[in-house]
Amino acid sequence: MKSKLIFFAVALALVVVGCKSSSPTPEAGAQKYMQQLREAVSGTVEDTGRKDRMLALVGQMESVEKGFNQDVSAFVGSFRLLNTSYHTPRSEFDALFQNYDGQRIQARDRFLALHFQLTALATTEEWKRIGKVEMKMYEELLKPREQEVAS
Amino acid sequence: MIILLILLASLFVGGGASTVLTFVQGHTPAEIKKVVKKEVADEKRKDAALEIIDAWAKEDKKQDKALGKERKELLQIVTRYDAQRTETEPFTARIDASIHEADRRFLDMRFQLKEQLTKAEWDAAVVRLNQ
Repeated sequence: MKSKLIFFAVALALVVVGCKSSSPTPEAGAQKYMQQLREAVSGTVEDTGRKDRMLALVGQMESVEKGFNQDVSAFVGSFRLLNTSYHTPRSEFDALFQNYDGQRIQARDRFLALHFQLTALATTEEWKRIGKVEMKMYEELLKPREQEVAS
Repeated sequence: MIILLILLASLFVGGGASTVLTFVQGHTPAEIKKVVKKEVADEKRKDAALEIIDAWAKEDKKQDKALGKERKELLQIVTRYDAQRTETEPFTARIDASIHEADRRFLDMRFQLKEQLTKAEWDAAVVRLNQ
């Protein structure tokens, strides 16, 4: 019974997380940006072998992002459960934050490694276009955060 | 959808636990203050709680502005064709250290705030924050 209740609470928390996160919706999501990166590779790299390897890397970047997305949802659900209780000790929060941070660093390092593999496969000329698309993607992604900080 | 946007950016340029809870989950200083104002009746404890939130928010904003420059420089490096992975390491190390500090301050704030609220007020505040 207790495990059912915990499952229900986690599921409920995830649903609510989804609701909150959907309210300030910009017009596009991460998938759109990944698609733009994919199109930049497809439209720029003529060599089929390198193009396929680069597209596979973009696919792996997307998988890392999706996996991290799940880690974040699980983290938020766990935080909400701990935060509900007035008596939860600090050590439990510290452990939760530490675990999440390990996941974040692991995902970030994996993402960076994939990025550098992508760069290594491109020529200088190809990267001029692909790098520009990638830069634009990160600038766009940082906008909501910077707007929050500035307000 | 903003959750995805922040997450992808987080992978590259940071975004710790406290950032997720503040910007994705909606535990912004303004939201928390609104809840405290509604749930804490005692004026003295309410003012103390609001001061705790203000102090946390002020420090967080200061730190985030300082980090903004690091983030931009990191992005310039990673999107450069001849960039080496090792060039990113000092930036990611500083960003990680800053994230640890922000997370610690978030939890300090949470526990300081809890001390100003009764259990009944806390329970009601959490319900309201999670709505």
